[in-house]
Amino acid sequence: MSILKPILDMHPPTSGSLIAVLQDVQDEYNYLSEVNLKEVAVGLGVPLQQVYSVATFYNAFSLKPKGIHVIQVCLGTACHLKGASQLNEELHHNIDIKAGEVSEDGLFSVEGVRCLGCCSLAPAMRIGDITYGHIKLNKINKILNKYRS
Amino acid sequence: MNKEILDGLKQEGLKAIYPKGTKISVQMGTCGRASGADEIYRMLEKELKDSSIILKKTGCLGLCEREPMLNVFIPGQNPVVYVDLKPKIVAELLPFWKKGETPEKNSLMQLNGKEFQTNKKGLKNAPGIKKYNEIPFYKNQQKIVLGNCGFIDPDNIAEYVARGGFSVLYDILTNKKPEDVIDTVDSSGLRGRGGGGFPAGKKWRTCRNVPAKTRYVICNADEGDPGAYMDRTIIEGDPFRVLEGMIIGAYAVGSSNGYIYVRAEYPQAVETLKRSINILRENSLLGKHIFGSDFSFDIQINKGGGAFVCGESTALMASIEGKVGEPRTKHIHTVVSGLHDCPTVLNNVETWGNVPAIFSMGVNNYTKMGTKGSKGTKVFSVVGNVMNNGLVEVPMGMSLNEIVNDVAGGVPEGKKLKAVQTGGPSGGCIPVALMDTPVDFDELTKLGSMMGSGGLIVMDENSCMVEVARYFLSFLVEESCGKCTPCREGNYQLLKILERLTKGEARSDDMETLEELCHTIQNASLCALGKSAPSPVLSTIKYFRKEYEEHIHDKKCNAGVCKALFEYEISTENCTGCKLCLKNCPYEAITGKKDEVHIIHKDKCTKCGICFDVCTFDAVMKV
Amino acid sequence: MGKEELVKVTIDDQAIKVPKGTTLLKAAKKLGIDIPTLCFHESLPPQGSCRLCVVEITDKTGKWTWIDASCVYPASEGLSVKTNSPSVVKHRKTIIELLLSKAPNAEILLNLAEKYGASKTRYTAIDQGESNCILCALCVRTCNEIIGSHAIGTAERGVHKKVISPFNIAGDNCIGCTACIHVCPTGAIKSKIGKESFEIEDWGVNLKMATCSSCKKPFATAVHLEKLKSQVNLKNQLWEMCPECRRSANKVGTSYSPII
Repeated sequence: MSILKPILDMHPPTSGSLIAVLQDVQDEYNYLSEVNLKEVAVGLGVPLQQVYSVATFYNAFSLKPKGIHVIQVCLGTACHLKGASQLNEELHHNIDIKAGEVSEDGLFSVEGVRCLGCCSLAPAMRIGDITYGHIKLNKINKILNKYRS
Repeated sequence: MNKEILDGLKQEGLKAIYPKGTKISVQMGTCGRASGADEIYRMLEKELKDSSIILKKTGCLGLCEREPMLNVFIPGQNPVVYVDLKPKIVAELLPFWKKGETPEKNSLMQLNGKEFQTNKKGLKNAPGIKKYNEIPFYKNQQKIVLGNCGFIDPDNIAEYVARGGFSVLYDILTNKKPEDVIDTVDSSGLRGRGGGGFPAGKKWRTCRNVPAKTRYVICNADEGDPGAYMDRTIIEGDPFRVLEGMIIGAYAVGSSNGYIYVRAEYPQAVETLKRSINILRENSLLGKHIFGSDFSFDIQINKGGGAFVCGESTALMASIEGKVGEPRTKHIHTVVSGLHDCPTVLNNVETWGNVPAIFSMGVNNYTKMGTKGSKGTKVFSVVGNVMNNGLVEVPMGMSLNEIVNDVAGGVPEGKKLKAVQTGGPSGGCIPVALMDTPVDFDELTKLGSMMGSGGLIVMDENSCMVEVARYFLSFLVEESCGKCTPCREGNYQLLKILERLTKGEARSDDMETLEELCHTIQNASLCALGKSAPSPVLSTIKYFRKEYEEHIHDKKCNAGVCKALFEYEISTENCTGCKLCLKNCPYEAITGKKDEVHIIHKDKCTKCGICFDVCTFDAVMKV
Repeated sequence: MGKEELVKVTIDDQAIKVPKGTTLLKAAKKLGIDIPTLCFHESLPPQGSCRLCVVEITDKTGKWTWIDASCVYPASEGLSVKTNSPSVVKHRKTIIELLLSKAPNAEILLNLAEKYGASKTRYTAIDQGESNCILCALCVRTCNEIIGSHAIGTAERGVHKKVISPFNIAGDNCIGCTACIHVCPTGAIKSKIGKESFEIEDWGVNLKMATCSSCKKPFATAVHLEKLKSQVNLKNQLWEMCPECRRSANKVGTSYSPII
C-alpha cells in the first residue's frame, strides 16, 4: 500500500490530477522525494519521466528538502525598486548560505517569489504565515533571531 | 434558491451591513494582514468578547499605504474609516467607539457617497470627519468591480445579495436567452482585462457557435505580473461577484464546467474561493438547476504551480490538464479548441467581475464610462515611488498624469517623476513627457507599451531605465517555458547584453545586436510571453536612449543604481564620526574612530547600501 | 467521406491548391520548395518550437503580414507566403546563431550557418560540455509518443531545460531501439554499439546485444527483439537473424510468411 494513499484518494486517478497531487505531497512532506515521485507515477498511471518533468517545471515544487522556515523574498517590481535584490543578498549572507541551499542547522532556506502582492510594503518577505514589510537591511538579524530562539 | 429566498437573503444582508448596533469591520486582505491587521483583529476579538459590538472582516478599500485600516459603523451614521492603526491606537479609540462616538484621530474619511447607502436612507454625517468624495485618492475613482471591496463581509452571501448580487443572474435565467446575454456583453464593448484586451462578447459568441457537447469557462486568476494585485484584492474582497460573472458567462456560452486557476502564491484568495464556492453550492447557485432552471454549472479550483507562463491561455489549460505549462501555437484558437480540446472561454478575474455590473447598470450607463475603444473602468495597482501605493479603479480615458499625481498623490520626498511602467514584463515604460496619455488599450499600445493586467509602476529620478529593462528580462528568462528557440535562447542572450551594459562592459556592437535580437524574438517566438519580452527593452531604448549610451560609452549610471558603475564614499565635510554606518555594516568595510571621519574600504564594500540608508548626515555619497 | 475542401495559396509567387488545413511546410514541399527545419519529423505531430521554418505570411486581404512557423501553420484560401524574404532570412540567421551558442559543433547547424551567413560567435557561448543538444525534443517525443518506452524526458524550464533520464530510468526502460539517435538532428546522443553491449553512457543505458545466428554479428539489443516478438508475428528463427540475413533467407525461398 502506497504511503501516499491518503493523498491519492483525494483526487481522480488520472494524469489530470498530477499537479494537484504533487502540490499535496509537497505540502505534506516539505519536498518531493524520489520515492514519492515514483509512488505518484504508479498511483496515477503516469510515466515517471512525465512526473519528473512536471515536478521540475514548476517553482512550487522542490526536489530537495526546504528549511523549517522558508523565507520567501518578494522579487516583484515594486520590491525590486525598493531594494529587494539587496535584501535577498543580505539574507543569504546572514544565514550563510548560497542560493538554493538550506542553512546548516536546517532552520532556514531562502527562495525568491514573484510578487506577494503587498507592494505598498516593499521590500517584503514572507516567513510561514507572516509577511514582513518595509524591511530595513539592518533589521534582518532581529527578525531572524525570533526564529532562532 | 428562488426569488423568495433571494429576497430573504437581501433583507438579511441589509441588516448585516447596517446592523442595529455598532459594527467594526477590519480590512483583512492579504496586504492589510501583512501590515498588522491580524494583530488588531485578535485584539478586538478579545476586547469585544463581552460586548454587543459586532466584529467583522472585510476586504481591502485600496489605500494599502495606510493599512491597517478598519471601518466603524455607528447606527444611523455614515461608516467611518480609520487608518495607520496600531494596537496602541486602537486601544485608545475603542472606548469612544463603544460609546457610539467616532473621534477624528486616525480617521481618514466617512463613507458617505450613494454607493454606500444600500437602501439605507437618512444616514447622518459623522461630525468632523472628511467625506469620501473629498479625499483625493478616492474622489475621482469610479468603483464598479471594487464597489464592495472593503465594505462588505466577503464571506457573507447575504451582504452580496443586499448590494444587488445575484438579481442579475436571476433575471437572466428567468427572462433571457443565452444569445441575449452575449448580445448585451457585445454591446457593452467589454474587453479582456487580463492584458489581451480582446472583446469578450466576440469571444463568447465564437465559443457558443462551435458545435460541441462540452464547453468550458475558465477564470484566469494567475496574476503573474510583479506589482499587480488587482485580481487578488477582488477575489479576497468580493468573490461572489466574480463567481456570478462566471455563472452568467457559462449560461451564455453553454458550459456546465468551470475552472478558476489561481496562483499558488495567493493562499488567502484560494481559501476565500473555496468557501464561496461551497456557500453557492449550499444555496443551489452552483450545481444542478440553478434558480430552478435547466441550467447546471459547477466550478473547480486549480492552483498554479508557480509559473508566470501559465498566465498564457494555452499554458494555463495545459497546466489544468496536469502537464507542464508549455504554450502551443494558436492558429487554432482556444475558444474553438482549448481545454481538453473543447471550446473554452478564458477570461480574467476583473473581466468576469464586470459582467454583473454591465447588466445591473445597463449597457447605456456602462458605455458612458471610458473611451470609444475602451469602455468601462480599469483597476490599477499603483505602486513604486508613489505617495499612495494602492489599488484604484478609474474610468478608462483618465490620463496617467491624473492617476499618478491626483489620485495616487505623486512622487514622494520631493523627487521627480521619471517614468511609469504599464503592462508588466510584457509592457513598456512611458516617460513623464507622455503622462497625458489616457489609459486606453489602443493608446497605450501605440506608445509601445500595453494596458496589461493593471500594474502601474511609478519610477522616480533614481531609477535606472537600463536596470529596469534588465530586471524585467531576468524575470522573463526565469519564467520562459523553454519550448521555442527565440524566447529561450534569445531572451537569455538579450539579458547577457543588458547585464554587460549595467556592469560597464558593453561591446561596440551591443546596441545593434540588441535591436536585431529584439526583432527576431518579437516576430518569431511561439507565444505572447516570448513575443512581448523585448517590449521593456525596446520602450526604454525608445524613450531613454541617452541612458543606454551613457552606460555604453561613458560607463556611467547617473541614477546611481548600477553597482559596478559607482562607489560609496564618505564625505569628509558631512561626516560627524557618529559610527552609525560602521556599526551597521555587515561586511566590516567601514573603519573610523568616534568623532573622526570614517572610511569605506572598497575592497570589502559590497555596495549593499546600508550605510547610505542609515546615515542621518547625508555623509555617504555615490560617486 | 466527402471531398476535402481545397484552398489556393501562393508560395514564393507560385500558386497551388491544397486541402484546407495542410501545413505551409507540406504545401511548399509539393511545389518543390524546401524550407529548413530542425524539430520537425514526419512521424510526429509538428511542434513549431525550433522556429527555423518561419515564413512570411500575408492574409487574403493583403492587409496583414506576419511571421509564423510553416510546419504548423494551416493553409487557408488566399494566403500568400514568402519562404525566403529578407526578413525571413534574417530571422533564420539569428535563430541559427542562437543555437550555435549552445551547439557550436553540430554539423547541421554549421551547414545552415554557411547558407545563411550566420556566425558561430555572435552570442555568448553556453557551455554544455560536449553536447550538441538544441532542445528540439524529438528524442523525447519519439521515445514517449511512438516507441512508448518513456525512458527519457525533459526537466526544468527555460534556458535550464534539458533532456535527461530521471533517476536513471533509461537503465530499466530503454530498449535500445536507437530511434532517438536516429531522429536527433545534431547527433547529440552519444552511444556505443559493441559486440556485447549497447550503451548510452549519459543515460545509464547498458543493454545486452543479440548476435545473428547466421553471420554472428551483433545487430539489435536482446530486449528490443523481445518487445518486437511480442508485437509482431514472425517465425522464431527469423528473430534470431539480422535484417540482411533475414532478407537473404527470404530470397532463397524458405517458407516464411510476410509480416504485414
